[in-house]
Amino acid sequence: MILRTEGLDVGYRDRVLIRGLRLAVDAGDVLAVTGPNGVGKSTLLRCLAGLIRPLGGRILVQGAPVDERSPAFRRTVASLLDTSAWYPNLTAGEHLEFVQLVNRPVPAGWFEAGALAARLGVSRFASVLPGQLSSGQRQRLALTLALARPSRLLLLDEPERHLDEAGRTAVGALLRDYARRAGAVVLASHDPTLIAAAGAQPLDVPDWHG
Amino acid sequence: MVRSGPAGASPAAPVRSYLRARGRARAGGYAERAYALLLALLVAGGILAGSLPGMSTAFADGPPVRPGPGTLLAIGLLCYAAVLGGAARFGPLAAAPARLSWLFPSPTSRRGLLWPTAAVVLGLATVLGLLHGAFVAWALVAPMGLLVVLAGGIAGLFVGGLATLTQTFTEGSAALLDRSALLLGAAAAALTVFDLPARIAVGGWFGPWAWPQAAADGMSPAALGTAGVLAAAVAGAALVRLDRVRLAGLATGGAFAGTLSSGVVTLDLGTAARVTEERRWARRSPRRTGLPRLPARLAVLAHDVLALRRSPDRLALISVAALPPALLAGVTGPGPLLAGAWLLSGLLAVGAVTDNARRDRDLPALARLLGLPGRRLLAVRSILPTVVGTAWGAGSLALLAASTAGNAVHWLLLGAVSGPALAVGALRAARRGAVRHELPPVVTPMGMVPTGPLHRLVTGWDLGLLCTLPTLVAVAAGDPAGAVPVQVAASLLGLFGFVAVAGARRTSPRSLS
Repeated sequence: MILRTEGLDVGYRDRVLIRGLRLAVDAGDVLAVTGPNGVGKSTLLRCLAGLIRPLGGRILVQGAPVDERSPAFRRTVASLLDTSAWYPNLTAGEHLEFVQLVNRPVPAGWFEAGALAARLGVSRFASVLPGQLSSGQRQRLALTLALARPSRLLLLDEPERHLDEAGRTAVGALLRDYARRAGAVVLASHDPTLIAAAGAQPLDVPDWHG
Repeated sequence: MVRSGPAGASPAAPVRSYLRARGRARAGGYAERAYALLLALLVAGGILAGSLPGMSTAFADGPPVRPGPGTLLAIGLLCYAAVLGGAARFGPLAAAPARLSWLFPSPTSRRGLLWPTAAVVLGLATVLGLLHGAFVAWALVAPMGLLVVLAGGIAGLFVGGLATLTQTFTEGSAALLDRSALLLGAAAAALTVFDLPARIAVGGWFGPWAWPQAAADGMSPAALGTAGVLAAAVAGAALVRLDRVRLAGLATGGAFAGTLSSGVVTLDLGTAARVTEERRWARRSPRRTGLPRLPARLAVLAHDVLALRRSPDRLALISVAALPPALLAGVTGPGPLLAGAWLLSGLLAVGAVTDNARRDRDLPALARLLGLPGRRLLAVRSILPTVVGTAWGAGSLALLAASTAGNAVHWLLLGAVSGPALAVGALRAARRGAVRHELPPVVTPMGMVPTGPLHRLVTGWDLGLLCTLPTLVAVAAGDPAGAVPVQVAASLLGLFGFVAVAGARRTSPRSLS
C-alpha cells in the first residue's frame, strides 16, 4: 500500500475540516478529491505531503509515517500544490534538466524528459525564460516537472488551473500513464474532463460547516 | 514496474555548481564582477582608512557620559531582542520560493543545500556581536578592548547558533524566538524603569548579552575560552542538524525575505509593507469577532482599535520603543543625537498603528467603500495614532527625565502634548505611497542620484520633525522649561493642518484600484 490514512482529522487549530478520514491508495490508483471550496481538499493534500501536521490520526506512506525531512519520503512523494515559483535565469528546458538532476537517479523506464515535454507542449517554449511564459504555459511546465521527477505518489492540487481543454485531456492521460508505472495519484480537482481523462475514482468531501 | 532510487540523500554539490554555472552564464563575465568587487573594496577601504584616526580617538575618549552597568546591559538586551525578532521573521534560515518549489522537495541532502545559508546567518550574528562588543569597549573605555570585542563576537555566535538550532528542533521556532525577544525587551524595560543601573554588578552568568561587559570587568580568559567552545559547539550542532529543518519554516522566512528584497529592488516599499502585513494577518485566527461597540460615526476608529487589540506584538513594540531614548541618554546625555533617536523611536511606535491609514491611501477602492469624505476619514484615522502618540510621548519623556535635568512633570506633560505631532509624522509616512520616479535626478561627482527614493525616505520625517521641533529642542537641551505651550500650538496646528490638506488631496491618477 503506497498511502494509508487512519482516522485522519484535517484542519487548522480548533477548526476541523475533514474528520476521521480512512484512505487506502495503492499502486495504479488515481483518486480525485472533490467538493465545494473551503472543505479542506488543499489542506488534506498539504497534510499528505507532510507540509502541515494533521489534527489527529495517522498518515503512512509506504508503511512509514509522513516526514518530509526524510530523503526516502522525498524520493517517494512528488507534489504540485501551491502556485509554483521559478528560477528567473533558467529556461523552461533547463528547469526540466535541473529537476531531473536534483532527483537523480532516474530509474530506467521512467518518463523520458523530451517525450514528456512534447506531450505537454513544453518543447515549444523550452528555450524561453519563465518571465515570458503565459499562466497556462507555466502550469504545463510545472506539471511536466512534477512528472519528470521519479516518485511513487503524486499529489496535485487543481492541476487543471489555467489549462485549455486539450491540456487537461493530455494531463489526464499522463496521470493514467503514471499510475500504470506502479504509481498512485491523489488530486484535488473541480474539473470533470480531467477526472474522466485520468480515470480517477472520485472521493467527495462533504462540507461539515455548510 | 518502476522503483524509486536509494533511500539516502543525494549530494548537493552538483546541484550548487549547476546553479552557479547557469547564474554566471546569464549574469555576465568574471571581469565584470571582479571590477565591481574591486571598486567596492577600494571605496570601503578608502572610507575605513579615512575614519580610522577619528575612530581611535573616539575609543580613547569614550562617551560623554560614563554609562552605568545596568544601562549598558539594557542596551545589550535590547539589541539582542531586535536581532532575535529579526531572526524570527527570517527563519533565521530561509529559502527562495523557486528553491522551495523544485529543490528542497527533492531527495538532495538538505544539510548540503542549507549550510551556505546557515554559515551566512552565523557569520552575520558574529559580526553583530562584534559590533556590540565594540560599543561596550567604547562606552567603558575598556583597557582590554580587543578582548571585549572578542567576547561580543563569541556571544553573537552563541545566540546565532541557538536561533538556528531551534529551527532544527521545532516547527514553532519563529514563535519561540519572538517570545525570547519579548522577554529580553521586558528585561531591558525593567532595568530602565526601575532604575537599577547603579546597583547591579554584571557577570557572565547574566547571559551572552552581558559577556562583553563581563570581559571588561575582568572575566577570566578561561571563562571566555569556555564561552568560545560553547558557542562553537552550539553553532556546530546547528550545522549538523540542518537536515532536520522543515520546509514550512523555510517557506515562511523565504516569503518574508522575498517580499522585503523585492520591495527594495523595485523601490516599492509600500507594497512590500502591505504584502508583509497581509501575510502576518493570514496566519491568525481571531478568537473573538465583531467590532468594538462605538457610535456608528466612529466605526473607522473601531476598526483601528480592533486591529490593535488583535496585535499584542504591536503593543509590545510601542512599549519597547520608549526605551532607546532613555538608554541613549545614559550614554550620550542630552544633545541632537538623543533628540533624533527620540523622534525615530516615536515615529516607529506610532507607525505601528497606521496600517489602516496606509491602506486607505494605497487602495482607494477600500476607502470608497467607507463612503466618507477624505478629510473626515483621515480625521477619524488620526484618533488612535494621536492617543498612542500621547501615551508614548508621556512615557518616553518620563523615562528620559531620570537621566536629565528639569522637572519630571514638565517632561511628562511635554511628551503628552507632542503626541499629536508624532501622529502627524507617522500618518504622513504611512500615506506616502510608491517612490516618485518622475522627480529629477541630482548630478553628483559619483554620478546621477535619483531623488525619488530620497524623497520617499524623508516624507513623514519632515513633518514629524517640524511639528515636534519644540520637544526636540527641549530634549537636545535637556530642559523642558517653557516648551509645553509652544508644543501644544505646533501639535494642534500640525494635526489640523495635515488633516485639512492631506485629506483634501485626490488620490494618485496612477492608482487603478
